Amino acid sequence: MELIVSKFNYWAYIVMILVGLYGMMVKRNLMKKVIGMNIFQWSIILFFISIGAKKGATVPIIIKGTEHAVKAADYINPLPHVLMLTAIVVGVATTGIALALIILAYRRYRTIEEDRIIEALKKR
Amino acid sequence: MPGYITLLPLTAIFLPFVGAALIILTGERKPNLRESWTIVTSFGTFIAITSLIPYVLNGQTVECHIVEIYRGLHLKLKVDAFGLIFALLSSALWFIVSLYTIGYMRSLKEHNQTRFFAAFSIAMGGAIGVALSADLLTQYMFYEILTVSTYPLVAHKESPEARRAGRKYLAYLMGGAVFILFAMAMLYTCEGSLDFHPGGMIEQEGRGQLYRITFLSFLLGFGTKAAIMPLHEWLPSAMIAPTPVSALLHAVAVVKAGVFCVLRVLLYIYGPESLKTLELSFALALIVSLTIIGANVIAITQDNLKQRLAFSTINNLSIIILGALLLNPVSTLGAMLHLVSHGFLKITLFMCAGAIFVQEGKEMVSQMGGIGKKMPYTMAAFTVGALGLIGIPPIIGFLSKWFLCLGAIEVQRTGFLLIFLTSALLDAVYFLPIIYHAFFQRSVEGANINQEAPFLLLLPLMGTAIFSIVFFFFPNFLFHFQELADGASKSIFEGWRK
Amino acid sequence: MKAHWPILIVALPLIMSFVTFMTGICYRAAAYHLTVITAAFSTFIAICLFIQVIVEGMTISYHIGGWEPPWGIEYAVDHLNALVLLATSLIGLLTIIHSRKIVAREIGGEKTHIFYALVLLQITGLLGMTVTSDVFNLYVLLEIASFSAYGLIAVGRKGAEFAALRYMIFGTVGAGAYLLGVGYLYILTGSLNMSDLLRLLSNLYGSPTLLAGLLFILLGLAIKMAAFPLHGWLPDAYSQAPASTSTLLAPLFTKVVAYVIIRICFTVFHPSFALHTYPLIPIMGAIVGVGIIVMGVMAIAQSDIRRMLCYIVIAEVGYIILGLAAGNRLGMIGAILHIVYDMFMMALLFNAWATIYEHLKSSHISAWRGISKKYPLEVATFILGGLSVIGIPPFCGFFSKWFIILGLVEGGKWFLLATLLLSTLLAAVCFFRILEQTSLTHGSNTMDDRSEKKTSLSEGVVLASLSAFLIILGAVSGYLVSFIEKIPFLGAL
Repeated sequence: MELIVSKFNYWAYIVMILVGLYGMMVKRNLMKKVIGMNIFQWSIILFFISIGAKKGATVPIIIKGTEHAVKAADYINPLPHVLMLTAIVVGVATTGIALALIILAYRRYRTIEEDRIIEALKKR
Repeated sequence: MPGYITLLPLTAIFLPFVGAALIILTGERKPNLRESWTIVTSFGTFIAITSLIPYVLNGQTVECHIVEIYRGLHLKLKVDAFGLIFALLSSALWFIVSLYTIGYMRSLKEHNQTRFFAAFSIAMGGAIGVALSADLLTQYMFYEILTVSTYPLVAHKESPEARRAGRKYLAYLMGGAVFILFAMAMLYTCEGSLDFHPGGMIEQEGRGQLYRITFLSFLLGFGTKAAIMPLHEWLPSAMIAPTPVSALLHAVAVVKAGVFCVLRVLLYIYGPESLKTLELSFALALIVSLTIIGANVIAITQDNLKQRLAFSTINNLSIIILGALLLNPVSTLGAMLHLVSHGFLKITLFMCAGAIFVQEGKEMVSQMGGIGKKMPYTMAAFTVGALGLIGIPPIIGFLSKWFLCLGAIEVQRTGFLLIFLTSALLDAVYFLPIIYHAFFQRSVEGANINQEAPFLLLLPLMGTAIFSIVFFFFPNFLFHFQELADGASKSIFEGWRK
Repeated sequence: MKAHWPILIVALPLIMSFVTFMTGICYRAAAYHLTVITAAFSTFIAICLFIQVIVEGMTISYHIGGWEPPWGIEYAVDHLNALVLLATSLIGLLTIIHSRKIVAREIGGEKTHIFYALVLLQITGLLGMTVTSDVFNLYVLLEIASFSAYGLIAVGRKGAEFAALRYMIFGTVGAGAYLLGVGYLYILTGSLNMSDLLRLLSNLYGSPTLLAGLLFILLGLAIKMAAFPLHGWLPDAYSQAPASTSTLLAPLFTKVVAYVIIRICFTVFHPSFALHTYPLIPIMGAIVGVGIIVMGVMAIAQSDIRRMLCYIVIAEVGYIILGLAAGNRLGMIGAILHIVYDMFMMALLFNAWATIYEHLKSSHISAWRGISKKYPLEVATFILGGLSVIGIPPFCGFFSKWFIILGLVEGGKWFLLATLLLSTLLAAVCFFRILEQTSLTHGSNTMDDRSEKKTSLSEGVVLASLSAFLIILGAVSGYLVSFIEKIPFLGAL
């Protein structure tokens, strides 16, 4: 029980990843697949953000004129958050391309159901 | 020894490849120019190799280091007596056969001659490369070049049957190559080197089982090309190729390359001592003896002349291997000489078969009654070849078989002596009727007019037949075959007493 | 200038990608030339870096923005990636030159500049993945390469957008898994720099988190490199793509990812960690070993030649893993050699295929019947590439395979050895079948009049030079091996 509570952020992201994978693998609708893919990506981003957090720490901005030495423990680790800015950009780009591809597929096959597209492809 | 000598083996190997490139570039537009490339390169190769003889006879080895791949792994060439024998044999016969090939291909108006001559040239480069390699890796490289370049020649006819033969050929030989690759890797891992050394290079202390497996693997690899039964199936099928291919490649270059590689492994990698202590020589000798007898028995049943010759080839290849397996200098000398004598004799026979096919369109032995009256010169040459293979003097075939039998007596293996003699008897059973029918049976058509083959076909086959007789009287004529073989077998058995 | 080469080789194609796009809007014909110039310049830089590594004999390190690692991002060129950089950029250049006409036909006038912008982006990603020594930066560049690949594939024939979408879903899972693994490493060490990680991880090898991290990274990269059984996306994606795309992607992408696996497993972790402490690479090797047989059989079963080549690509990438799984020096040398050699072999095969496809408009094996008379050069180069893949010496494919075999024998991995040898035979069946179809069968003469198109000079030159490379690379294997042997981590094996 304690394992679950103390590491609740890990459990949360594991659940989210599984939800995302489920969406990607099982759903036959392309839009739902993309939503699953998004959930998958955001869960990893949340995981990164959560590892930067510390209890009782503050934003990592050093105020000018502070006299005493900087103690790392007082501040949230900013690096994962900065990394995740990039990862968010990547995620958004992924979504953008995915949606573009779905539009392309819809124009050609007039459907976004995977099964029907495969059927249409087999027919040619 | 002048420095440029080391370039000679390199020249000998690269000339055929250059020739192939020139042939392709010339193409179908100028057939005369294209054919002259074949003659020029084959002659150049022949000269380059012949000019190596004096150095090797002096006991020098000409080495040419191309490139180092890794520690103990090189691509390098070395001309030793044994290698030179095979190189001489292939290049001399290539030059002779190239005339024949041109005559044959033109008479039959074969298609795709550019590809044919280019592949032929590459194959010869491969064969000579195999002969002059200093280690297994280099040898494997040329061996594979030879394998691949022969494939389009086997399937040259482009008929479904030819393609099937080509597939079979590839299946056997590529399958074999995989085993060689494995064996080479094993050998390198154990010894850290792949160099040939007369009398063997392995230190088999405590690794007997490993070396037995490696040996088996080598045998499965090179044995396919040497057509040891039951790996021989591809050779009779490959007889569908145009006759010059059967003559030069499937009687000399390709299959002899297989035998040559087997002998290299036996005598230059394992060596007599290891073969004996690992108890490999006797086991292999038994397999090979079965092949000798089996192939000859099958040959009797064949009606297609080329098929019959193919099984005779299988028989003779195994005789050569058996000679080496008797593990004494005399029989090894005999084996190396038999490499030469079978080369000259069998090529004569194949060229005769080709000439008959060109003139008469006949392939079956049963149709050849009375053909001796129509084509007296061709059949005279055929007779020389056949008698030589049986082992009747004064033809070189007698000489090599004589040494083989002497060797068998020397090591007191009466069983193997009997094998040699039985095989000669069986040779007689399937060769003599052909000759008898050719000369003494009335032809079905009855026409007794002289319909001799064209000069371009006749000259080479007469040439090889005459050479086979000359070599009996002067085994060291021109090429010093006997001296070379003697030197090679002495260097192998030096310092080894049963 | 010289000091900035490690960043320039990545930044230049990136910038030029936008420049190409922008100029393309008003002046389309310039796109091709800009791309070729950029690729040529990247190749030039790669050659210079290669020479510099040989001369100086040590790692060239570049700190972006002057920030010292581990805070800043470091780009480093050492003996391992100098070789990969050179091969990647050179093949990129040759392929772009080769596919000019094909692009013009396939993509059409309006979109060529977008296509070339994506091509440059692709090259940016590949070169960046090779040169970076920051694990997160690697993720970003991996995604840049992947995104441009999705785009390049999606413009193909019918079904391409669907194949691209499936590739994308696979690829995103792969990239996500990789990122997750990087997160684990970050939790443990607080660093993202590769050499820094190697130092910090040295006393953490017992940690299960670390194992999980490496597992996720390997899983992600295995998806991206199409290692069996995670290869499902590749045959569809590469065979539905436009011809000009598959000639660019097939030789490069999977091999660069294979390089990344080597980089992570052996320079971020101690080499023995993934080999002996937890035998992840040997396990992967065993799975891939089964895979190369399956892929060989699949390749034989294809009647579409491009699809057959796709399966061969997967099998060939498997050889690299087999070499790593041998777990010794020889196997590693073989694997690294094979990365480089396989790039050239696949480049030749796909480019020759694309040329013939341009003429015949068909990739079906029956359409290739007896075409060698009409297209002797194209067929000959294709067969040459095939022989190299089979492993016929003196072509380069033999030498890398030979080292992998030596490594497997020395490591006593008999099962893997057997699979490798068997797959050699399967590859032989594939290519000799094509040789038989193209050269040893009478063609139907029905299409003689229609296709009068000639292979252009530049295409011919590219094919001829790639074939020459196969022989030259085989001949200089010895020098390459002694170059590869200077890679520091090989000493630890």
